[in-house]
Amino acid sequence: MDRNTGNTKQSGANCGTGVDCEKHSDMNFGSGVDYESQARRLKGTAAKLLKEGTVTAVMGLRENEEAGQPTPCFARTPEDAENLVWNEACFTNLANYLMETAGKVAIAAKPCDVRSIINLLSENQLKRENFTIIGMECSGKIKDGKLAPGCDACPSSIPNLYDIAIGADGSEAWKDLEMANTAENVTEWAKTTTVDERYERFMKEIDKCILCFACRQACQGCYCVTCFIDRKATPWEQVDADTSTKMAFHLTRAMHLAGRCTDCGACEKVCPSGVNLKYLFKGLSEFIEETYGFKAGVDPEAVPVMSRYSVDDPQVAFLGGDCIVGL
Amino acid sequence: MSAYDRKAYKMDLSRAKASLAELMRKYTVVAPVMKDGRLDYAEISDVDDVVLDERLPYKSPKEVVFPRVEDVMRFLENRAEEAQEIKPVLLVGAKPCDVSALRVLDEIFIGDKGRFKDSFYQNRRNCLTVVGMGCQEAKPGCFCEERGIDPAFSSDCDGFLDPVDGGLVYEPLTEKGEGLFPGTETEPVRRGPEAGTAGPKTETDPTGEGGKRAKKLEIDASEAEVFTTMPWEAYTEGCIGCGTCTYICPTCHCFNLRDAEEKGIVTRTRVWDSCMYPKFTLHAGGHNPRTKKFERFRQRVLHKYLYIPENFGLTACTGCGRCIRSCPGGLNIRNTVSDIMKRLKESKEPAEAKKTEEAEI
Amino acid sequence: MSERTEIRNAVPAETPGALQAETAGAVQAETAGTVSEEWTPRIIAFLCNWCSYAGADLAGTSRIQYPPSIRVIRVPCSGRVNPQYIIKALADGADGVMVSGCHPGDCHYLEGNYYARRRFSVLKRLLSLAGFHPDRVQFTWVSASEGAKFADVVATVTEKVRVLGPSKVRASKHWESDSRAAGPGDSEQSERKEGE
Repeated sequence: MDRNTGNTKQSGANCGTGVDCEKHSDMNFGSGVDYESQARRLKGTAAKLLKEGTVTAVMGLRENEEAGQPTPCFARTPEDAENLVWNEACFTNLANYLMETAGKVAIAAKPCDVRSIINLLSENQLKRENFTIIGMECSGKIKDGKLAPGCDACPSSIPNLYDIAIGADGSEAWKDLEMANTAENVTEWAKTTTVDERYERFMKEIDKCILCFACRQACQGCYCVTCFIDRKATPWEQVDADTSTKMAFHLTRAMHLAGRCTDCGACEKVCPSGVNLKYLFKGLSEFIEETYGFKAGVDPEAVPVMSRYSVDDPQVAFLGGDCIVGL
Repeated sequence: MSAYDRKAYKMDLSRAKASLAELMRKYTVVAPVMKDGRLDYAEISDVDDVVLDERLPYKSPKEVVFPRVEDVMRFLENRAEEAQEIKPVLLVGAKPCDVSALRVLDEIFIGDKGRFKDSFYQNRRNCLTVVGMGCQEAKPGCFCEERGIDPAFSSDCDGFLDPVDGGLVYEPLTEKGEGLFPGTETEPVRRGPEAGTAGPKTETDPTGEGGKRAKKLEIDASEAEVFTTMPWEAYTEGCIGCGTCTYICPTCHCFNLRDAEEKGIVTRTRVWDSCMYPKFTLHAGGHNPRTKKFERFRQRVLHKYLYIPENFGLTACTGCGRCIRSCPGGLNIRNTVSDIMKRLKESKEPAEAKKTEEAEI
Repeated sequence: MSERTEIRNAVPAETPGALQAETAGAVQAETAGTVSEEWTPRIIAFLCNWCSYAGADLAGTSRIQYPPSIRVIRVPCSGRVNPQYIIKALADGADGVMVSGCHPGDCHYLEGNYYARRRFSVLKRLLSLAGFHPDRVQFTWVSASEGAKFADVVATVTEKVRVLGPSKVRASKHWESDSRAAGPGDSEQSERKEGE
C-alpha cells in the first residue's frame, strides 16, 4: 500500500494513462529479477571501485522509509557502499546527477537511465570517460502499487550501454527478460479519437498542473541554464500562471523534447499533481521514428534528429500531403 | 480553568454533516475529501464528500489564506482598488500541524512583530474560521511532536473536532467557533478519556504518554555557528530543484508580485515562488548569490529554524513531514536539523554530550 | 459526445502517418457556438521576407482580393519561426496560424525552409495529438512571383479555419477566469476575477 495515497491497487485497468483500455489490465510486474543478488553484486562492485579509487563516488539509491521510496545516494567510501539498495521500488532516474558531479563517478543505471545518458552523450553534455555505467537489468519497477510510469513502454531489459553488467540474477549475463509492453500506442489512440476528445484529455491533465516545473527539473532533456519559461524579457509565463501559460509551457516542452525524450517517465514520477502528459512526448517519438527513422537513447554518436534535415523529408501532416493545402 | 472544564459536545457523523450542509449556505467550506484516490483539503460541493477521520491530507490547507494565484489589486486611471471581501470560508478538519502552520503565517503576514501588515492576507484571514481536528495517523516522516505540537489537540483554532467511536466530539474555542454546529448538543462531555478523545496534554504530562519526552527539534545557535560548519552539501545531495517541498509545505510563503496591464487597467497578481528554484535569487543585474542547491537548501532550513525564530519568535516548521514524503531526492529537514543539533552539542561539550546521549537511549 | 467519424479530410490514403481528422462543420460548430456567416477568423501569418512576404506584396499591388483574416508577421525565413510562437498564438486564442516560406530548394538562406519543414511536421503532429484541429495550422510554400497563389492560399486557409469556428481555447471555461481579456471586436469583455 502506498503510504501517501493509501492506494492499495495492485493491478487493474488504470495504469495511469487516463485511458481505459483492456490491454492495460494485464500487467507484468517487472518479474524475473533476483533483487537480492543484484543488490549484493552492486554493493560489492561499488565497494571495489571506491577502494581501488577508480571513482570518487558511486551514484545509486538508498532505503528511505520516510520518503516511501528509495532516494538518491552518493556512496563515497567502501563503507557507504553498504547503504546502496536495489529493489522493485528503485525507479528514480539518476542520469541528471551526472551533469553535476565533478571527477569520475560510477552510476547504477537501468535501461531507461542508460537511454537518458546516451541522449546526453549524443548532445555532448557528458564526457564518456568521466563515468562508469553499472548496467542493471530491469523489466520494470513498481510505484504506488503498479508498474512505474514509463516502464510500460520500455523495449528491453538490457541497457544499451554499460561498463559493468549486473544481470537479472546478479551475474554478468543478461537474461533478456520479457517486458510489460503495455504502453498505449499514442498514434493508434489518436486515429480512433476525435479532435475534441484529444483536447479534452489534454485539458484534463493541464487542469491538474500547478506549474511547479518539477517535471522539467527531473527531465534529462531539460538542461538549459535558462528555460524559455523563465525568460522575462519576453514573458512567456503570464503573470498569473494561467491555463494559456500551462498550455504554452507543456506544448513547447514537448517540441523541445521531440526526438530527445527517452520515455523514462521521470516527469510523471515526480509530479506532485499526478499529471500525465508524457503521452504527447511518446506520440512525437512514434511519429519521428516512423517518419525519420530515428529513436532517441540508442546511439551515443547519433546526430540529434531535429538538428538536421533531408531534402527528401516528406511533407506529412501538411494538409494535402506533398501538395500545398490542396492547390 | 482546567482544560477539562471546557464544554464539548458529542454528535454523530450524520448530524455533523447535516450541520455542515447548513453551513455551506453561508460559508465556502474547505474540508478533507478524497480526490483521485488521495485525501486532500478541497472546497466541497457535496457534504457527503467530506472525510472527517484521523488521517492527514496530502497537501496543506494554506491556500485558504494564501492562494497559489491571487489578484490582489487593480490600478485604474485615478485610483487603486484592493480585493473585495470574499465569502466567509470555513476550514473544517485541519490537523494540529496545519493549524499551527496558520499561526505561523499569521505572525509573519499580520503579526505585531512584523513592520507591515499584509492587507491581502488580512482580508482572507478575517473571513476564515478554522475548525481543527485530531490526527492519529503518524505517517512516516511525521515529526510534529518533536516540534512541540500535540497531534491530538490544538487550541489555536476556533473550534476542535475529535473523531471518537460513534461520531465526533466538538469543542468551541472562540466566539467564531460557538454555534457552528447548533442543535447537536446531545450531551456535553468533558474532553478526555471518557469521551474517547485523547485529551489535551497537561504540563506534567506533555506527551500524554506518562514520561517519554519528545526531544524538541530546534536550532539553538547563531547563524555563524551553522552556516559554514555543517555538511550542507551532504544534506542536499539528491535535490533536483523541483520546489515540491515548498509547494506542499503549510508554512512556506514566498511569493512574487507581478503587474500586468491590459486595456489601461493594471492588475497586480500574487503567485507562489519557491526558494528552491535555481533562479529564485537571480538579481536584475544578472548576479545570483544562490546558484548551488546546497545554498538554497541551507537557506530554507535556516529560514524556518533560525531567521524566522529570531524575527518572529516562533519556528516555522510544524513537523507535518510532507516535504520529506514528497521529495524525490530524499532530502529530510528533520534529519538535517537533528544532525545539526547533534553536531552543535558535540562541538560545545563533546564529552558531556556523549554521556547524555547514552542516558537517553 | 460526438460520434467518431472517419471521413477523410482531403488527405490521400497513402500519405504516411496521416491522421484521420474529423471533418469540420457540424461538430466543431456545435462546440464553438453558432458560426455566423460574417465571422472572420483571426489568423496569424508568419511570412518569410524573401518569398512569401514578397508574394503577398505582389498580390496587393496586383489588386487581388483576399479575405482580411490574416495578421502578418514578417520574418527573415520560415526557419526562423520558432514553434513556440505558433503554440503561444493558439494558446492565446488565435483561430488559426499560417506559416509560409520559400519553396524547398529555393530558400534565400539555402537551408532554412528544410529545417522548418521537419520542425513543422513534428509540430503539426503534436498539436493534433493535443486536440487542436490540424486545419487550424497551415504550412505552405509561396514564392515571390506567386501573388495570385498567395491570395488563393489565404482564401483556402481562411475557409478551412472559418468552418471550424472560433478557437476552442476561447470557448473553454478557462477563458473567463484567466487573465487574457477578450480581444478587440469581441462582443464580450471578460472581467478579471479573484484568484480561485
